[in-house]
Amino acid sequence: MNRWRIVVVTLVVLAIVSMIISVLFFDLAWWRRSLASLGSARAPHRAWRTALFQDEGVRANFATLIASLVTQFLFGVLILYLVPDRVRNMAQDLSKGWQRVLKFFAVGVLMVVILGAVGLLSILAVHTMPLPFILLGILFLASFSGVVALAYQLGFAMLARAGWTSRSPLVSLVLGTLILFALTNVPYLGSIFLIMVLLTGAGTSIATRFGSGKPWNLLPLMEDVQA
Amino acid sequence: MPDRLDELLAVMPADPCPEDLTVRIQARLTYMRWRSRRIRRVLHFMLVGVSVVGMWLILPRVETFLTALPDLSLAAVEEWLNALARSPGEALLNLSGVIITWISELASALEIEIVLALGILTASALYGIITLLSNGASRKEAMA
Repeated sequence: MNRWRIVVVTLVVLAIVSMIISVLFFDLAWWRRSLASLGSARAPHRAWRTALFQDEGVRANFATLIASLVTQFLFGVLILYLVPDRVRNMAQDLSKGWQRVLKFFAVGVLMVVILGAVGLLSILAVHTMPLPFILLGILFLASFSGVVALAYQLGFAMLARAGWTSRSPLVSLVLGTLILFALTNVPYLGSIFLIMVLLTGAGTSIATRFGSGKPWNLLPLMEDVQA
Repeated sequence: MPDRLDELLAVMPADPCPEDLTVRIQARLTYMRWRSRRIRRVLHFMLVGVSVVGMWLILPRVETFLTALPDLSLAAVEEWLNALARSPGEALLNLSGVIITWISELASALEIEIVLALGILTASALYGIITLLSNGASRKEAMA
């Protein structure tokens, strides 16, 4: 068996095990708690050993986890079907090495600084007041589109190394989404990883101009000036 | 009818090509590249310095912005949803009032130094993005 096939299978198993551990020991379904208990820390599910499926908290956690995973995957499928060329362009740019991924992360961080500053400055004028909300929407879309490309490329690269290239693109998306989702659900560290993934996603979208495949320069405008 | 090449040929010097012309062109190109690199380095250094000043101006005032943020607890959201169910018009009117109050509080917290610092940070970050991405793009074009 190809060494990468073992790695892929191991990663999938680890991702599932990690998610199950999160479900059993941590409070994922925080929104189910009563408003009065929000200020206090909730004890982990102590009854899981004896009555795993009777524990309402565990069941709520499972439901939350599965619903979040499915939602993320379905959003990815929607993006893949809506703009396959753009996702491919973003994925190809991401496949050019870790240096490129780090660059996209840096672009994401700088973009958040710009949007935050512009958002704050825009409240000074009446006609630019809605800008913070619009910028927030753009950043949200950019982040999630980039994360879809990141998940797809991650899955594709792993399947290609394992020799499973003749599969549907959706299989790559499933694998990538599963790995990224499991990492973002690791207790405590997951939030930091989630922020990093979202920033990289935003950077990927911005750097590739939402996957248009065109370079970041003003050449089209300069051609007009020279003509 | 003479074409463009004929015109260029006519304005070319009749003297023979100087022996050191190639060397001079190469030296000139090297100098120009060295100068543009140096200008870029000075610009980078200046922008990093200016960004540090911007951060230094902003950081002590972050608390002001955070206190200006409205209380977005689940209890407040639940209360607003209940109000929306009871009387949608009144709830939306209240929400717009809260947003306008928040924006005006935030705007009053924006002193001249903060506005300046935000402008500096925006310019530096934008320059950073353009430098990061343009370098990659121009290298890609050169390789093509």
